[in-house]
Amino acid sequence: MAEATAIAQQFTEYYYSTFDTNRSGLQPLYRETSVLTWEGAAIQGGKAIVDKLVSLPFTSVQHRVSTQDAQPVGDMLVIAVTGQLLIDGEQNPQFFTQTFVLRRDDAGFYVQNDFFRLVYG
Amino acid sequence: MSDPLRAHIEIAATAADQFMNVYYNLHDTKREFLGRLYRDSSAILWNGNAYSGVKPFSEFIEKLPKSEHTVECYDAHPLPTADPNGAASLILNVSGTVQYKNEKSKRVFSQCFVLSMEGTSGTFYIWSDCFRFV
Repeated sequence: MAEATAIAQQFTEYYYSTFDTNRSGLQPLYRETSVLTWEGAAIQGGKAIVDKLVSLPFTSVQHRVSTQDAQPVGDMLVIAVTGQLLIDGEQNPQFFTQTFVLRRDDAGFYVQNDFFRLVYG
Repeated sequence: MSDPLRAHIEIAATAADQFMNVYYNLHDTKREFLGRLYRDSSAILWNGNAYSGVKPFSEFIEKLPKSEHTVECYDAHPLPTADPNGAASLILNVSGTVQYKNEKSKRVFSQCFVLSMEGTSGTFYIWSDCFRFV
């Protein structure tokens, strides 16, 4: 469990810092079989996923992770994240929840499933 | 996206929808039965606290004040199986609000379930559960 937490921590740090500086750099984290459900819309495959992320209509974004929980499930690792998003220098953060399912292949860890939702109070 | 995947996601969403209605209905109106959806092998994290086994978790959950959950949105994907017995699995993410009887305002929550089907029964049990207030 401690190992799961350590992997999750490294992964989310890398993921969000890459997202916040250069979204196209996320592509190696996905595979052809990866599926992202972004605000309810399902997208499959690394290229389509990254195209979607790159096309999101903001200039700058900053993720701040509030909580992350990691649980091994079979040969996968489920990471549930909650946090805040600061978009285009806005002072008022939006809240988000994101879940990653990580798997491993010869090239290392990758995102098999990804879910992103903005959360409203 | 491929048609088979789209079809699988729709099936997952329907199964998830049914499960979700049962789950929150039990949580809100028949809390004493909620434990039946878990197994002793279930991995449970409730707002950062880990519970191991149905009994300790049931004891905890039954002490929570009366709840009323409102699901705002949910997403589900089929998963290559989590269960070593090869049963179908799915991952379900829910977000919404919950009003506890002793509190003035609603809280926002996010919950992630991995569900696994028990043999050929057609019923899901909770393989893992991660609940957080947002």
